[in-house]
Amino acid sequence: MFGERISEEVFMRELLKCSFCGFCEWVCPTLKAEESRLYGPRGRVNIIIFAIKDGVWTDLGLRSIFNCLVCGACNTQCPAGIKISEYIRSFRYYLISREFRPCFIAK
Amino acid sequence: MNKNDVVRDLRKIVGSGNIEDDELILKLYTRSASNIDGSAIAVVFPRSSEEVSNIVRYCYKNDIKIYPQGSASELVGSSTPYSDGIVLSFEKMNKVKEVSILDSYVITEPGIRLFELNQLLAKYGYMFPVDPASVKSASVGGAINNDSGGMMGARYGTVKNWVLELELVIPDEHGTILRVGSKTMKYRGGYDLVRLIVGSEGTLAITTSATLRITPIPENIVTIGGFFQDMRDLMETVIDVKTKGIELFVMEFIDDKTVESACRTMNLKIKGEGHYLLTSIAVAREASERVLSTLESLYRSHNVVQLYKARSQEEAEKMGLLDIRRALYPLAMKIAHESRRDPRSKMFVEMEDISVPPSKLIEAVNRLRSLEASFGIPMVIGGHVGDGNIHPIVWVEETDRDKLKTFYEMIKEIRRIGTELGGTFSSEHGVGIKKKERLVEEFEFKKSLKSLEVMKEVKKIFDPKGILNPGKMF
Repeated sequence: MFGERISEEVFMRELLKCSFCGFCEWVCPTLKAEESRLYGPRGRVNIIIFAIKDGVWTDLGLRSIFNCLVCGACNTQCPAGIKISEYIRSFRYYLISREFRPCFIAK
Repeated sequence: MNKNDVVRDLRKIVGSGNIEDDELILKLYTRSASNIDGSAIAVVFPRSSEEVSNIVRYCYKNDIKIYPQGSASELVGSSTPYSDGIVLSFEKMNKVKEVSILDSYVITEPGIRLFELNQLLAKYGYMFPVDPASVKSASVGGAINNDSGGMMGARYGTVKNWVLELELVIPDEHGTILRVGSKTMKYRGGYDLVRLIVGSEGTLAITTSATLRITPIPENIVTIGGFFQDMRDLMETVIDVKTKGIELFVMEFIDDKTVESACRTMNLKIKGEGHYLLTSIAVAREASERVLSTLESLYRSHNVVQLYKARSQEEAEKMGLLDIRRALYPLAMKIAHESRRDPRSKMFVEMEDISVPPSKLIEAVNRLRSLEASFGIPMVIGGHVGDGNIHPIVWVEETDRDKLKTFYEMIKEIRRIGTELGGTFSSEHGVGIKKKERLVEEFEFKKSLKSLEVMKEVKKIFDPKGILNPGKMF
């Protein structure tokens, strides 16, 4: 599935499993460096949700998505079993293929 | 005041890299694990007590609401901005300032995560013995605001037993910095303001530094895990162990539905059917076999079906005896998501937080099971049974309008069980936004509504303008 174009529905189906618990954050190297939730896995998962579900997208979101190292450490921590780094990688592909304009899907 | 003016003025206090009003960031910092979304005009990242004081002074003068925030992993909405104001994020105040083994304390800023603090303390053979399930996420400041507990609560209680001294900023015209408590085990200097602040959910003062008691990591811990076909047998084992005067380290349980899901979906090293009870005892190494043998005979006298024993914490971890209990919340999430019908809707998964005196555990579990049957909404049960704290978990799909009403009715009934059996609806998660109504009902039940009035007066003394985390608790 990863590495090919993922639809907005698939992003939502998987990422809405996030309960905002933050268990994924302590292992994230970029969060340690930036000291802001925006640059951790929980932030990135929710940025994708905000973009697709709520139609909110800004340059800081773009920075957050593209400064992830895709190291995958967060994947081992998520209680909901979300392969976080893989969805971040896929969202980059999605953004590039859509000229950095995510598609807002109405609820 | 105009939002842009506020951001401009606060930027002068904290510097340009430490305030954000980007729309995405605002959405991210006005959300919490409680499933409640709020709103804010800016997120501010202070780096010192003085900066916090200056921010508070500015906000007091200009009537701007302040919402302090740790990791936002709380479950009741206590960190959610209720109406427009600024979020004060402590992510950049995360330093440990001093560790004193001789004096048994650590002084730390509020933003450090409990897990990271304990990684540091482990180098000295010590720990801060508060371990909520969210230990990898929860910050020291958040744990203080919520008076957090956890698996070791049976032995160590909650945060309030482990705070010696606090540095606080109160929301008055000066942004006054208070220092309450002392670095000593004994302190009787007037009213105990330390324990007033602990558990106040950030409604009275902002913690900028904490002196926390620490304790040596026990020499050895023995653990026994067993599966019971009948919940009554499990609860009678709990009562038997407790009445034998054995000092618990950890005593936890999960119900058969969670066990079944765990065995089906997780790569567990232990297998079993029925309800699972885990007991750990801190012992001198020489006493390990004797204590294990006592526990085993107690488990067996109540018809345990499968039984696993570990002679050390390392062995318990290797055998996976704790994994199955740690998985309570994730497994509930998993079971809930498996039942999701609309892939674009979110699941509301509510973990309740009742406590009853251990003598009432059997009655509490029976009443919870009856609710599940009468409301027709699935429930899993688990928790810190050693101290009487049960976490029933229920769920519903956000788009299932018909069921939502029943869901909230059922939650009310769950909370009522705690109060009616001589315990409480709120053990370690707090009141926040979600449980305000139940707080009133609990005091009504106790014929003690005056207590609420006293609390509201206390709030006015600390926060005369009502700008600090308003809309919470009351």
